Formats: sequence, structure tokens, C-alpha cells
Amino acid sequence: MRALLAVSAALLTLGASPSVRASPQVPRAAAHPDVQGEQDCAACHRTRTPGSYSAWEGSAHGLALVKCVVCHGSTGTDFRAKPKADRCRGCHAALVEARKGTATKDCFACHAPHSLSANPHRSKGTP
Amino acid sequence: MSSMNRREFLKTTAAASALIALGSRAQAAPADPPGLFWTKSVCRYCGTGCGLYVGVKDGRVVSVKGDTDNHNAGFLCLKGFLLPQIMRAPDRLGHPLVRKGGGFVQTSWEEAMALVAARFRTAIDRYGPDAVGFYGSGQGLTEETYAANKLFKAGIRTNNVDGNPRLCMASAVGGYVSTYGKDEPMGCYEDIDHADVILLIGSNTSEAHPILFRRIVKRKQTGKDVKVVVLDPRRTPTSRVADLHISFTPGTDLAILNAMANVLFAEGFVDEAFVAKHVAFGEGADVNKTLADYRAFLAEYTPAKAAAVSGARAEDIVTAARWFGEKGRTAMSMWTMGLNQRTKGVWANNLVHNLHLVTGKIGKPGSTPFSLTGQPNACGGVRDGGALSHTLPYGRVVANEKHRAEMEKLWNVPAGTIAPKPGLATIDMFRALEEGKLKALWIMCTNPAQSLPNADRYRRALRREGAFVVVTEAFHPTRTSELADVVLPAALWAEKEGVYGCGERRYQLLEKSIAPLAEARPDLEILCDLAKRLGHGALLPWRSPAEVWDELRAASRGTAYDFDGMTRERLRQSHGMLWPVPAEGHAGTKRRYVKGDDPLVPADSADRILFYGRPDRKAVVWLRPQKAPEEVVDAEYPFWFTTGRVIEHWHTGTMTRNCKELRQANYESLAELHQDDAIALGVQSGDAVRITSRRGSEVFKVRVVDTARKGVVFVHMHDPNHMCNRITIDAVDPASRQPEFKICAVKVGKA
Repeated sequence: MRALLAVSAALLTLGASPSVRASPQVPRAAAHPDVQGEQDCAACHRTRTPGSYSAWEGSAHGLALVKCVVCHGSTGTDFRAKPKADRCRGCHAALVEARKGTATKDCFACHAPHSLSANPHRSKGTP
Repeated sequence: MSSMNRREFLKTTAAASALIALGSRAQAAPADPPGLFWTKSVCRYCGTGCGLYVGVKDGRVVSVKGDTDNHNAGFLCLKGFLLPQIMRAPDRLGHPLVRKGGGFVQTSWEEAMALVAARFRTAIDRYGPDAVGFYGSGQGLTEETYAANKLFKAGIRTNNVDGNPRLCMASAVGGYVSTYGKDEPMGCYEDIDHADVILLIGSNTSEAHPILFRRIVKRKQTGKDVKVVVLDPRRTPTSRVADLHISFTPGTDLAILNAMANVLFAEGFVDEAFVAKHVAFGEGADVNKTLADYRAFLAEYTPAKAAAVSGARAEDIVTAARWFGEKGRTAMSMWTMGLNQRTKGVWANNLVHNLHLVTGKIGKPGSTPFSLTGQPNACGGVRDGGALSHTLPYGRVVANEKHRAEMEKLWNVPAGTIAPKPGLATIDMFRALEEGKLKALWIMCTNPAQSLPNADRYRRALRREGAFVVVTEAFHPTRTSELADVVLPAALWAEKEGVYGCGERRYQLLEKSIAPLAEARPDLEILCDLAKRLGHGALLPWRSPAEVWDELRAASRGTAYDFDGMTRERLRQSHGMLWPVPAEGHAGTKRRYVKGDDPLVPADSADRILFYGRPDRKAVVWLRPQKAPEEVVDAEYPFWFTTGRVIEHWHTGTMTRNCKELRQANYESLAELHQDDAIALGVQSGDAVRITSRRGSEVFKVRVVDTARKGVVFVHMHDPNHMCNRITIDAVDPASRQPEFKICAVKVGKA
């Protein structure tokens, strides 16, 4: 449970402050309670990490039901507290590829996690 | 195939091969790792038909990305994004299996196919061709479904060819055909971008068609005063963008739709000129009524009466009608299983069409009645391809002598080859198996032992002594393959080439990306092998899916579906085309029946719209009364039972349950209950309840939600271990033969 709270706190922090970097990958499978697939992540995380949840829920991803697992993976070893850009590629391949070779380190340098509110591409006329 | 066609074919395939080699690798993006290349394809899941690219490295599918040039503008839902994981799932079947003794034994293809052919041959010789049947799928490729249809109807000479689209869109077909004379929507997805009012009824678009829902959200957010109305007993995530959500007692929506029409007349929203020119009126099966008759029929459907019947609020019904009818604004309706999976499914469809016809809100950008489809190729393969027990390719029907003669000529078989009597529709087919009349059944790419209503009954039928069941599947065990006598390993999605036709008449090519797993074979190859062994090899002579496609184009020529101009190379280069496409230079048809857009409407036609599907060139407004579902609640079975999807899982879960992320999200089917019902039953979230109907029983864990309607239990449909279809009812719509999955009566008790 302590581990769960630690994870939750990390996610909450991420949601509140995009500049805070997540710690390197840790084996989450042991830390996360066995949810047995009876629910989706939001069933707990809407109260465990309300900041992240509400930022996501009100976002374009929230409306379109691009749920937690799309970016973060499962609760197994593939879990990423901070998603890699590859997870964005399914829908935003051109933008992910355009970033390569630029000074922008990753998508979340500009896009606030969970709300993903900023859209610098559109303002520059990029689709 | 004529020698000319053969030459064309060779040229085509040579060009196509070059394109595959060049095109795929040319798709490699600068940032891609070495060795990664992309092939163009379509999502394997729902009927939206999202275009995507399959990323291949070292002979494996490693990635997908949305096709920005296709209708989905590069977006995929979470299922589509996770598609690579299904290809090497642990339960992929790589070798033929034959039941011996109590279990399955791995065999060679030769042994398995020899056994299958012998059993089919014996059944046909002893009991006649109608002793065998084919049960197909809206997920098979168009070429595969066509091959099966031709083999069974023209080779074996039985019309016992049906498929799971009977379970999902038969009533939509019935609605379009009875109203317009021709099947399939006349509009397109782009209509969403022009719609001022969007009416969603019997559709949880948000979870069942997420990428279309995204488009609806975008329209809602960027259009001027766009109104979204959702009619659904449950308050699903779709209602998040609704201006008005109308909840009602299951099965009462016919009254609501008639009441909306009542308001349209009462408040002056009817386009009288349009009605006079383009609309006829009918009741029952006859087009023998007048506008005055219709008005008299509607008189009793006041909003107050509909409210009393349905439990909805009268003022909401009025508001919905006013928004829909407002002059100078466009209106688009979309619906799916909530209307189709009903014993009055065709009627419910008719009533939606009525709203468009009396207001003239049809055939204009943003104004169209649009049936959403559940499977990726229900439309293209089974519906258009005529692979149901009463149909023949491209609008033809078995019962029509002229249509049979056309197909016999196209198929180069003697006159009289195709039997004049329609074969068995799905439920009838499985009942024939139960009764011992059907001796051998071929099931391709679908999972009826989980997906049929009243499933336990038909699970017993599949194991009846003397019945011989062949299942071609990419996965094993499924709840169906576990009951088979022979399971043949089918190539899956990116392992083969073929065409899918999605909900908006868009046909698209799925390129082959990788070799099939182990000994798996494409269904087309398996069917050609069966044909040879049954002595019908000449009917299925093809060496590639592209050869089948040329035959399909010929079959469509001169019909309302005409896609003769959709050559294989055009498909390869394009991101899908909407039929009709009668000539190579034709770009496709966004809106049918519309002058200047639909090539089948003469350029000198007097009006902007021509409903050429019917002899009088008019569409029919049908007088369809409210009628209760087959089974209603009572003292013994006091809860309404309904089923549906969650966004994470698709159909019976054979694919999505193989994705690790999705295994942890809504993996187990739950029973959603209203808080008041949960209190009355003394249960809370996480408790187990047993749900029982007159047919069967199953245990589910409870989830108490604030989105349920009191008295209605909703259960997810995707879980093979907690099967909702043990409970559902197998009563069918008398016209469409589609079962009433969506409504039955149950009792609920603590397990």
C-alpha cells in the first residue's frame, strides 16, 4: 500500500508539474495491487490521483477515451510513469517524427501531462 | 477469366508487386530504425474502418500508426493502437487440429482437409446440399467471403450461407431496403463535419466507434450551436457531449420516434414540397397509404403519450424534435445495435428514416440517416457481397429469378444452378444443427458459441452427436473452436491481403505485411482447397486475392454498387474509395441519390435528389406503431437486461484480451446496477450476483454506477468466462431475422 501511495504521489506530482522528471523505470508490477482487470485505471485513480485524473478527463484524450494504458502501458513491467514518445506515435506519428533532430527533448516538454493542453503545432500552422 | 482479363491481371499484379516492394519501403520515415518499413492497411476492429500503417521489422509487426490521409485523419482508438500484440499472442493457432477421442490432436493440413472434405461430401451425398452450411463473418476479407458464397451457392448448391452480420446489421439493411429500395447509407462520415444537429440513438458511439465519436466531438466544439441529442436508457460516455440525453424504458423508442414526427408536423417543420415530390407512404409491406393517413396515425403519438409509455420527459421529446426539425439547419442521425438488435429492428430503422424524409433533411452535407456498423467488413464483404442466406452479390436476391440468372452467367454455371429458395438465416441455421437437419457446418472467423443469443442452447447443438463442425480461426481455444471437430489455423489480418468495406461505403485494401504464423493459411486459400476436394475447383480457380477482385468488380458492374472503376492498383494507391465508382476516372461517391454526386442519377434529373432504388422513384415513410419487445419484465423476472461494449474490448474478446494493457482494463464483464437497485438487492460493487433469464444464468460481479437506469441491468459482452449470451433471448425480427440481443427480462440475486 505504501508503494501504491508512492506511485500515486509521483503521478500526482507529474500531473501538477510537467517540469518534474519521473524517476527511472521501476518494477511496478510488484508495487501495484492486483486489479484483475475488473475495472479500468480510473476506477481507483480518480480518487488516488485526482489531479491527474481530472486533467485527463477534461482533455481531448479524456473525451475521446484515450485511457491511461495508451500512454502508460499496463501495470506490468511495461509500465512507464513518463511515457515515451513511441506511445504518442499511433495517432501523432508526423509530430513525433518532426521532433527528431530538434532541441525539443520529448512531447511533454511542451504538452502538460494528462491535460496535454498546449498545442504549439497548431499555432505554427502544423496540423 | 478471359485471356484479355488474364493479361490485364498479369500486368496489374506485376505493377502491384513493384508497388508493394517500393511503396512499403518508401513509407519508411527518416527517423525510423533501420529495417523498419510500413505497409498500408485498415484496423482489424470495428466498422469505422480506420486507415493505418503497419510497422514491420524482421518479419514481425512491431508498430502501427494512423493514416493521416484517410478519413480518420491519423487517429486510432486504444484497441487499434495495440493491434501488434494480437499477432504473436500465446493462443495463436499455428497447426490444424482434429478432435480424436476426448481432445484435439495436431495433424497435417492434408489429413485435416481430407477429413473435412470426406465429411462434407458424405453429408451432401446422403442428405442433399442443404445438409451443409457456411457461417461467415463481417471480419473476413471481401475476397474470402465471396469465395465461400460462390462455392456453397453455385458449387455445392445450397443457400445455407449466412454470417454474424445477421446478428448486427440485418435490421439496418431491412430499414434501408424497405425505405429506399437499396441497402447501405447514402451519406458519409464527412457529413458529421456539416451537421448542426446530431441524433444518436441506440449507439454508445464513444466506446463502440471512438474515432467517429472524436469527429462528433470536434464538430460539437467547432461548429456553430451544434446540438447533440443522445437517446439511450443508459447515460454512457457518449452523453458527455450531449446537449440532451433522453433515457427511457428499453423497447419504447418507437413511441418516442413517432412522437418526434408528431411534433415535426404539429410545429411546422415538415418540408411539404420535398414530401410531395419524393415520399410515398406505407404500412405493413404495402406502399398504399397517404400523407393524411400518416398524420392520422401520428395523432395518437403525442409527446405526453410517448412520455407515459417510455418514461422519458415529454418536454425532452419536444426539444429533440424541434432541434431536429429547425428549418435551415442540417440534421444527421446515427444508430447501431440499440435499434438493430430488436424484434422490431427494421421498424425502428424505418422510424429514423421517417424523420429525415418528412423534413427533407437528407442528401445534403450534414443531413443524412447513417447506420453505424460494428464489424470492419460486414458491409463490404457480407452485406454488399450478398453472403447471407437470402442474398446474392451486389443487391441481388436469391428469390429473384433474374438475379439468379445474372449470377449464374457471371459464375459461368448452368441456368438453374442456384437454388431459388433462400437458405437458413443464422438462428434457423443453428436450430437446424440442433434438429439434426444440418449435418456439417463451416464456421469462418467468428465465435458463435459465445456470441449467439441463448448461447447454451446452440453450444449443445454444436456438440450434437452426428454434427460435424469445422472452425477456421486465428486463435484457439475460443468458445467455438473448443466445440469443433476440426480447427484450421487461419492467417490473421496483416498476414494476408484483401479488401475491407467499412460503414460509409469505403472500400480499402489491406496489404500483406508479414508471412502467416507457422502453418496458418489465409481463408481464401483454405476455401480454394476445399473447393478442389469437393470437385468445384474450377469455380474457385484464383491464385491471388487480386484475381478474385476482378471477378467482384465484374459482379458489381451495372448494379447500384458499381465499383468497376476501383481497380486493384487504385485501391493500392488510394486511402479507400466510396462506391459507386463506375469507371477508372471516377473519384467515388460521397452522397448517393444526389444529382451531380451520384453517377447513377442522370445529369438532367429534374430535382437535386432521386431515390432510384424504388420503381416510383420515391422513398417510403412507413407507419410503424410502438410494439413491446418479445419479452417484458414481470413479477418473476423484474429487471430489464441489456448488453454492450466497453472501449477496451471488442466482440468476444479473442483479440483484445491478448493485449496486456487491455487485460488490465475491464477484462472481466461486470453487471452495472443503479444504486437503488443495488440497495434493494443488498449488494454493492464487487459483490457477485447471479442473473437469470428464462433461458440461462450467469454470475457477474456488480458495479454500482450512476449512469444506469433504475430497473435496467447492463452487462459487458466480451468475456468468455462470464457470458452474457447465456441469458439473452434468441427471438428474431420477423423481417430481418436479427435477434433481440438488446432486451430481455431477468431476475437478479446475490450469488
